[in-house]
Amino acid sequence: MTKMLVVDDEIEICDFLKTFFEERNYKVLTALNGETALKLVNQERPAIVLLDIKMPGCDGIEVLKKIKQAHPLTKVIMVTAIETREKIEEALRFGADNYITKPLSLEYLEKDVRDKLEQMV
Amino acid sequence: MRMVSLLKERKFWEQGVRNGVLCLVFLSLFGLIYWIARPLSFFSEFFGNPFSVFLLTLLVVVSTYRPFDSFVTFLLGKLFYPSRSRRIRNLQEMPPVLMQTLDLKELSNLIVNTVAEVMGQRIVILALWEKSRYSVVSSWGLPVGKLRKIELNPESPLLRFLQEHRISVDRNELMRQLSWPDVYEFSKEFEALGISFLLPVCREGVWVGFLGLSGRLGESDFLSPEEREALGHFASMSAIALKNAAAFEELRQANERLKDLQSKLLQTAKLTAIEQLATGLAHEIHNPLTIISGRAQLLLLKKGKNTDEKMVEEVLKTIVKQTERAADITRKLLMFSEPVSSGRDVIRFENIIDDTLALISYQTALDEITILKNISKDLPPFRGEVNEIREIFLNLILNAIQAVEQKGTVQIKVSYLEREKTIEIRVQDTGKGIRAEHIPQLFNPFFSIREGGLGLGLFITQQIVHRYHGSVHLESEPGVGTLVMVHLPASEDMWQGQPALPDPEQVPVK
Repeated sequence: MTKMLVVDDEIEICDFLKTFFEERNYKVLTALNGETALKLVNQERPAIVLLDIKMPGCDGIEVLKKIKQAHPLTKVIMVTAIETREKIEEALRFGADNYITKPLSLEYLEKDVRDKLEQMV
Repeated sequence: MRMVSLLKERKFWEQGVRNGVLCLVFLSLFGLIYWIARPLSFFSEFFGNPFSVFLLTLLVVVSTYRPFDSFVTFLLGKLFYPSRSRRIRNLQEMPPVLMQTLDLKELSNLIVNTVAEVMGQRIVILALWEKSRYSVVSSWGLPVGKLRKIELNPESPLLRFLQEHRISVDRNELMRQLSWPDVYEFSKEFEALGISFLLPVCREGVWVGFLGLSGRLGESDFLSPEEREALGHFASMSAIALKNAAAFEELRQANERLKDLQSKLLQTAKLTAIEQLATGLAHEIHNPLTIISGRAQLLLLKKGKNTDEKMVEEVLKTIVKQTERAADITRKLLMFSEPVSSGRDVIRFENIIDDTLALISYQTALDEITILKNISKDLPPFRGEVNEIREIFLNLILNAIQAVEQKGTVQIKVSYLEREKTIEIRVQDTGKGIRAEHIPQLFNPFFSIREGGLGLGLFITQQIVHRYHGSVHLESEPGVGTLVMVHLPASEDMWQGQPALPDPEQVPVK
């Protein structure tokens, strides 16, 4: 079972993503902020992380940098609402594997997650 | 030396009288010297000889001719042209009026009209030297069509001669002094310009342009040395006045451009603050939308499978809740883009502060910042433009929160100072403070101590407060914090003539 971490400061978003991916046989962990996310990445070593950019405290870009430093093989997909071009370019520069804008199309998200995991194999 | 025009009677008589007077004086001088010399013939054979006395007289006459000639001309001028000395006086009285005229067009017309009227000229033109070319800025006696046709070539020998020597040039005088090809050249140019006298307009090495005079109506064309001197003086005064007016015009234009720029900048700054907030707000709207869409997609994927009623109900409730949340955000955003209303509303400070804080919270995390609000219950009704008052709070609270950075306290207090009849707004933070040397500059536009700060917040705040006849003060200590105080006079007589409106029903904001 593929381990996935969903990071979003919005609990409702974490919830429905968890429901959606669990139904598709993923083991889904959730984190409401950057600090928890980093702890879980180190402990649970998820294969893929869905990461929100705008979060209080440690923001998505910081979390991305730390994940890619510690675990370069972990796939990270940025999930953003409205971000400036610079922010997105910054995320890609720091090794984000893709970015997806909110509101999400769940089918597209799932396909993208599958693609990224297939790259790993 | 000067042109004698037989057609001009008065001139003819003047010359005749002058020559007669000079002859008479010469003869009497001869007689006088001969009479004085006779007794001296005892000493020398020289004085007894009429021929040697004639030579001596000639010597005296030649050496005293010029000043004497000027004197006679002056006297005759008074006799034949009594208006001439009045003209000179008139010209001498003009400079103070010139100096007071700052409009370039008006000044040019004044100079040209003065010369034309005082000197009785048929045609006068004033050409100014700008950007290496001449342009006729004002003229007298020229039909409009002809004025347009005048094209002054800066390379023309005549104008170059004028610019180089900077002396007045009389056509007839010049003709007599120049060799043939030049005479032909210059004569052509004078003809083209339709004038016969050129007067440089310059002062202290600065070439401003020239005045062209055609000649007098009715009486003699010729200008006496006194008139020339007065004209020369008038021209150099005109040069100063024209320079001043040009400088003033430049300043006025620069000032206008600056004002225009400033208002544009202020507009931009206001937009930037709202844009910043808008980005935060739009971001915030996408979260409820994501939740609504996500939940609905989940349900759609389950269609046909076992969907229990309870789950559907839960999804629908979520959708209703998230829709309300999104609507609330857009409502708050709209408040800031409301068009400026013409009337003055009763300001509800409490609401404004809450709205402002709500807006800021979308953009900046306030979790670690303690916000203390203290709004006095007995504030007198204060009328103002809601958007403006909101902007004051937005700027002050944003500054305070940015100063605090992560952890700290921001205290917002609104009270009424009974004695001063003034509403006092205090926004105090426990932030990093401002160094004393920066404080005087804080209200200058584009001065910011924050990296990436636009430096317009306090400037705009002050502009708004001044519109309410109020004042802004700032106290700060590095490492301790900053206090900004805004005083808004609340006395009723400030709004005289405005009937006290009943409190408008406000849209309830959640």
